Amino acid sequence: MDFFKRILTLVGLLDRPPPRPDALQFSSLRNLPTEILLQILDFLPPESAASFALCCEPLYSALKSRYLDCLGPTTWRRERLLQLLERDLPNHIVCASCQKLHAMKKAPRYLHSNSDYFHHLKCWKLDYSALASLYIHEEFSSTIFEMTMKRYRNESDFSDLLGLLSLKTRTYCRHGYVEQRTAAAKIIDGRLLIREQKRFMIPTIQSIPFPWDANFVICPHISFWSTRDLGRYFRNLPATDWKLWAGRTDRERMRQCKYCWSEYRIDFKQFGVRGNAMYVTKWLDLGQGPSGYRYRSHVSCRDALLWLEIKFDSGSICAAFEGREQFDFDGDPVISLKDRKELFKRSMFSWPKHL
Amino acid sequence: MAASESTRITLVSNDGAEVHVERNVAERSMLIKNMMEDLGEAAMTQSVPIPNVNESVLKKVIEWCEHHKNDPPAAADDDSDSRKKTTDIEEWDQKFMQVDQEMLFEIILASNYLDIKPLLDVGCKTVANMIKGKSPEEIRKTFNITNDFTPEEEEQIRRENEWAEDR
Repeated sequence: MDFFKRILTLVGLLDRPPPRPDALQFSSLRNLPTEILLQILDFLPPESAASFALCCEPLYSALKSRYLDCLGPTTWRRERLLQLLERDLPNHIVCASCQKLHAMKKAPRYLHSNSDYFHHLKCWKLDYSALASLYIHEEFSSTIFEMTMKRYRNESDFSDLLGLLSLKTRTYCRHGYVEQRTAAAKIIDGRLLIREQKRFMIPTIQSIPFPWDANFVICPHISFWSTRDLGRYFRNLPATDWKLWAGRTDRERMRQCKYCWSEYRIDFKQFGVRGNAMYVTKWLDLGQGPSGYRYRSHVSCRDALLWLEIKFDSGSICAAFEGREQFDFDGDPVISLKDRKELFKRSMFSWPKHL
Repeated sequence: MAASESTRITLVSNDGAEVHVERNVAERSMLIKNMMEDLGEAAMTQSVPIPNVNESVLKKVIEWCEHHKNDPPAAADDDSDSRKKTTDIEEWDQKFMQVDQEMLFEIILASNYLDIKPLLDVGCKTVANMIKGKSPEEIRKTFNITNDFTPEEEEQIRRENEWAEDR
């Protein structure tokens, strides 16, 4: 394309580009001989000298080979230079894993479902191996988290990125039951909060509305594999008495993790012949960015799972997210009318015979 | 020695001002020192022209030489790494360098011309500190440099250097 543009410009069919301005015309550097400039730059760490070389075209062409080509592909110096460049680029972030700048306009490529990029995006792979899709929600990306927080700090519009950190309702017809997943993201007091709800629609023939192949996790430290885990959550109520659970207070239903900033509750609702539903809602406080301890406590990091005890007020993440103490698990902001219809439409009446 | 210390010589700036200075102070400049050696006794009686430096800059440079007249001479291997690696500047020199940019660069050019290595180093370090830890745009603002790259060229540079993820 550039080649054709150049040809057309030469034969006069396209306007010639405006002449390049004299970048140093008004600068006090203009009279400095090159050898003194080089002496100055030799006092600097390479990344700062490289940043200087990127100020304008004359400096770039004079200094590129000396200060830019020597930075190498994966050095910490290169990362420091990218951090300097990032300050001028409100729509990019420096990715510490990839050692590259990632553009916010291409944010959707970092979503978990976008496995096309698996083979060359180290940050995607890191989220994959940290099981972020399991512990946070199935589309979560720490790269988009980083982008969102940058926009937030710069006080620019981050709503599109926050949209990518949410999960529009997805309905799955499992073997014998229906599962729905929804997640929403908000920034409250400079921290990213996530609410994820999983809804399981179980046929009424089952005595306990609990998926037979349950393997849903709240966080790396709490997961549900069987009705025994449900009984543990109920504490002094057998799992078979799940109908009595509706009589418990919000405070009694809310649980929190000891090792990460997670809160969750389980609720049930009977829909007559359509089935019984179990709602598992969790709220996560992911902190100010993916490099912080709050976020790292939620994912299995490369090194190890974090098992350091932490403290926070019970119900505080939920209250901050919802903006009030009360939470209606089957209410409007969590589940839309369309989602509920979908859940009903797909609900099943049978249960796998062999189970 | 005591006699030479009190000997005063006269320097003449390019704008014709005469500046009287002790010989050992002026000899912080290797250019003047060599000139003195070449001229011998004649240098005591006639003024020494400094054609590349104006009065205000010359006075400023002499102020620095006065303060540093008793400094030990610089090590022979003054290109060593130890000299290069640090941008630390002693407090007096920091205050001395608190001048506007035009004057700062004039001092650098004068110290280069007069061959006063330690002053040249202080000047270069001062400018280096103005660049250190800044983004290109912040450096442009500091030194009033016009960004002559088009956005396409900037993107091209990011691509060339494989800084951007653009597949």
